[in-house]
Amino acid sequence: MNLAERALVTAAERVAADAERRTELWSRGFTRRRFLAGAGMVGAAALGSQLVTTRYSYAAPGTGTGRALVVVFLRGGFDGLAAVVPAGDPDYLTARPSIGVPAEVLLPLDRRFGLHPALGGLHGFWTSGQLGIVHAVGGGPGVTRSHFQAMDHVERGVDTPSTRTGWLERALEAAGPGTTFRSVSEGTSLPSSLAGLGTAVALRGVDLVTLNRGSERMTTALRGLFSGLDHVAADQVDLALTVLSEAQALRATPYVPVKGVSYPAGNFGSAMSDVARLVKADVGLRVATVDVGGWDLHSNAGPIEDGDMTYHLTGLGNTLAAFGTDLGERLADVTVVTMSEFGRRVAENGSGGTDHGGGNAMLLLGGRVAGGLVHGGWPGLATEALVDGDVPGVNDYRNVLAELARAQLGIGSVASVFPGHSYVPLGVVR
Amino acid sequence: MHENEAPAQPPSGGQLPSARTGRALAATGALAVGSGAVALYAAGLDPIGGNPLGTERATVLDPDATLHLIRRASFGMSTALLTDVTEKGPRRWLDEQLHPDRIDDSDVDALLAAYPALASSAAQLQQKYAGARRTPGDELVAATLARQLWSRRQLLEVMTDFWSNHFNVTTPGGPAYATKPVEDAAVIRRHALGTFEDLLLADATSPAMLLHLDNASSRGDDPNENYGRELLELHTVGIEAGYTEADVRDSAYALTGWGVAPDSTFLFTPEAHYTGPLRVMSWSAANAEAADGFKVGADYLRHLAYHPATARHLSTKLARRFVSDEPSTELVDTLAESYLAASSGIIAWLRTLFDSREFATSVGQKVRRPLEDLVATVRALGIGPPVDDPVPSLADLVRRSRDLGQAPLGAAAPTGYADVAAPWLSSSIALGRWNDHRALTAERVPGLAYPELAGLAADSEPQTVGELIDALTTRLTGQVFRSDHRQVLVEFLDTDEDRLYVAAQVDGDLPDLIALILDSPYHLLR
Repeated sequence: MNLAERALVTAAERVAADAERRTELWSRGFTRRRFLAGAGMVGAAALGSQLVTTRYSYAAPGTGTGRALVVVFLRGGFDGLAAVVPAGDPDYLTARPSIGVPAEVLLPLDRRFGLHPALGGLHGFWTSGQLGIVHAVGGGPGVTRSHFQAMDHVERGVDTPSTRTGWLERALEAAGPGTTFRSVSEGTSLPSSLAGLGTAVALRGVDLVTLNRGSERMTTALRGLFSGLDHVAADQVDLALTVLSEAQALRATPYVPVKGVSYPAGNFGSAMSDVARLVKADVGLRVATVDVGGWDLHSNAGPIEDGDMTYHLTGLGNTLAAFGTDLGERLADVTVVTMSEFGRRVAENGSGGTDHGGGNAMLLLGGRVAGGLVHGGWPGLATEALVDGDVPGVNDYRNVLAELARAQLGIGSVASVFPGHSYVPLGVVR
Repeated sequence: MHENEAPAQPPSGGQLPSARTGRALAATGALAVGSGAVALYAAGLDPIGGNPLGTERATVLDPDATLHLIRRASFGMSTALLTDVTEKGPRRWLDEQLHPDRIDDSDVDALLAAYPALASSAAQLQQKYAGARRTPGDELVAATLARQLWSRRQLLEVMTDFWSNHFNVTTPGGPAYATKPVEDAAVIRRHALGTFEDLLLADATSPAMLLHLDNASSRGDDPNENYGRELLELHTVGIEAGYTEADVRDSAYALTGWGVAPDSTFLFTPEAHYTGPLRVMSWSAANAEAADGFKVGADYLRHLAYHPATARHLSTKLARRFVSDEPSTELVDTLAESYLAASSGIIAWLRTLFDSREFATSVGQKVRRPLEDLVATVRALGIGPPVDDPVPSLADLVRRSRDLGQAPLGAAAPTGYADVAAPWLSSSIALGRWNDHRALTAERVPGLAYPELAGLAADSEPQTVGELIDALTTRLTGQVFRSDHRQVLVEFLDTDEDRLYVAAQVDGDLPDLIALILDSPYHLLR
C-alpha cells in the first residue's frame, strides 16, 4: 500500500468505527428506554426503530429529509396578549389601563388583532404568508399557573406524570432513525421535551464544540475511563466525543449569514444563527430547541416605548426575522414555533405587570406555515368569556405541535407522540 | 444561633480512619496507615453487597465512610480536609461543622476583604450600585465561590448553597437586588443551621426577596401574586399539598403591606395591607385591622413553617441534596418527623440525615453538578487563592461556572437549580467540564496559587508508573482506580505499569494525565 492508500484505509476504518460507536450508543439508549417503559412510558411499539442508518442524511429535494422543526421556548410565561393584541376588543384596555398597547401603534394583522410594534421585524413575514399565529392556546387542567408544573406538562406533552419522556423525543422516535445532529438543543443542557434516549445533542454553538489538547490518545482514554460503567453519564461521554469528532468539519468553515442579515447580540441571536448554520450544513438536523428567558414580568412591563416587555419582544422579533431572512429559500423546509408554559392574566396587577394566567399565543414562522392567519378559536375578553380572569385555552397546544411534527418530521400517526390526546388539526400548515 | 438539637443518638461513626482512608492519607503524607476498622458501616451493613433498598447500588467509588462523608458534606476533598476528618473522626468533625462559629476561618475572611459589598449596609449597597461596573451582586457571587473553594466551614457552605437555592434570588440581578449581600449574611448564613421558622420569616422580610418576587409592590387593593404563590409552591408546602387558586390569592393578601423602605430595609405599610377574612388551606385569620397586618402575615408564615407538607417538601429536597436523586419515602418520612420534632431545627435534622442507613449506603449515587465539579477540581488539586488581588481570578472562575450553566446564586427561575443529575448530563456540559479540568491543570486561570503537579504524588515516592498513577488517583479522588480504568491511564502514558517512573519522561504528560483523572467517574460521582 502506498501512503495515499493507507490514508484512505485509515479514514474508512475511522468512519466505520464512528458508525459502530454511534450504533452502540443508540442501542444502549434503546435499552434504557425499555427501563423507562417500565416506569410508565407509553407507545413502546416502535422499539428498535431507532438504530442509526446514515452518517449524514443529506437533504434530498422533495423527500422531506431536510425539513426541521425549531421549537423556541419562552421561559417564564409569555404575554400573548401583549404580543398579539386583541385590539378590537373593548375590554382589553379596560383590563390593562397602564400597560395595554393602544390600537394606533399596532401593526395590522386581521380585524381582531394587531401586532406589538416591537415585533415589527416579523410583520413582513405575516404579509408574505410565512407567519401564522394561534391565540388562546392552552393544555387543559394539567397546565396550571405553576411555572414548574406547566412547563413539565407542555414539554412532556402528556397528562400522566409517570411518562418521563419529552414530546419531541417521542416525535423523533416516530420519525425514525437519524444522524448525530438529528436533535440539537442550543444551550448547556437539554430541555424536558428532549428527555428520553439521551441521544439529543446540547451545544452552545458549533464553534464551542472543542476539547483543549484533545488528541486521539486523549479521547481514547476518556472513553476508556467510562467503560464498563452502567451510568447515564457514560452515554453522555460517548455522545460528547462523537459530537466533538463530527463537529470538526463543521467548525472548519466559519459561519457567515447571508448579506444584510445580522442577528441581535446575545444568547438567543447566536443560538438561532447556529441553528441556521446547522440547517444549511445539511447535517440531518430535524429538531432544534432554543430557550429564551425573561418573560415572567410581574412588574414594570411597560411603557410601550422602552419598557421591559418592549425590550424582550424586540429581541424576539428581530432574531426570528433575522433567522427567516438568513434561511432564505431554506425557510421552505423549516418551521419555527414559539411556545411558553402559560399566558398571563388578562387584567394587569398593581405593579404594572401581569400575574400567571392561562391561554397564550404561539407564533409560527416558516415556508410551510399557513401564514397571514390567526388560527383556532378566540373566546374574546368579555368577563363571561374568561376563566378565573384568564383567556381560556380553547386551542390545545398539542394540536398545533402535532400538526407541525407531522409536517416537519413526516410522522404518520401522532398517537404515540401525544398519547391520550385526540388530535384535531387546526390547519396551521399549508 | 438557634439550636434545637435532638437528644444525642448513639454514635454510628468511629474515631479511627478505615484502612482505605489510611491509604489515602498515607499517600498525602498526612498520617501513617491506620489499622482501625470501618465506621459508619458497623451497623451490620455490607456497603458493597448489601442492598437494603433493593435499588441499584453499583458504583466505582470507594465505600469508605470518611471519603463518603467528605464527598457529601463538603464541596470536595482536599488534603487538609481529609487530614482534618481523619484526625478528628467523622463524628467529631461533623459536630464541629454543625457549629461553624467554632471553626477558625480567618484565611478566607481575609480574602473576602476584596469584596467590600459583603460588609456594607443596605443603604450603602443601594448607593454603591449607582453607576458601578461591578455590582454588589457580582461581588457576592465571586465571594460565594471563594468560600466554597477555600472556607473551612464546608458544611455551612453546602447548606448556604442549599438554602440560597431554595430561596432563589437570581444574582447578580438589577439594581432592585443590590441588597442581596445583606440577605446572604443576615438571612441565609445566619439561619442556615438554625431553624427553618426563623429562616422563613427572615427571608420574607428580606428586601432582596421582597423585590425579586414583587411582594414589595403588592397592595391590598391590587395584589401581586408572585411571592404568595412561590411561597407555597417553592418555599414551604410544595405543589403536592394541593392548595387552590383561592389559596394562592389569600396567600398574597396575607402578606400585602410587607415591603421595602426607601433606605432598603424592611417596612410594613398598614395602608397597603388587605383586610378581611383569609383562608389558606387549614390556616385562617379574621384579619380585620390593617394595623395587625404584620402579625397576621407572621402567623401565616409560622403556620407554613410547621405544616407537615412543608416538613416533607423540605425533607425531600434535603435527601435529594445529600443522599440520592430519588430518596425513599421512608427516609423522607424519617426526616420530616425529625424536622417537626426539633421544631424545624436544622442541626437535628442534619444529624438524622447523616445517621440514616440510607445515607451510609448511598455511596456514589449522586453526580456532581457542574459548579460542584469545578469547585471540587480546585480543591482536589490543592489550588490556593491568589496571593494578590483575588478579583480577576475569581471573575474568571465565575465565568467558567456560568458557561457551564451553574454560576453561584445564578439560577434564572425562582425554582433554583435542579439538584438531580439528569439536567446536568449533556454533551455541552461534558465538554465544558473537561475543558475546565484542562485549564486548571495547565494553570490557565491567572493568579491562582498552583501546586507543582509532580508534587501531588511526591509523598508516596512512586517508583513505577503504576505507583505514580495510584498515588495521583489516591491524592485526587481518595482511591485507587479499578484495574481496567487504571490500565487506561497506563496506556495513555504509552508505557507499562512496571516501567520505572522517570520524571523527565512522564512529567510533561502530567497536566493531561491529571485532567483525565478529574474527567473520570471517580471525580464526577459523589
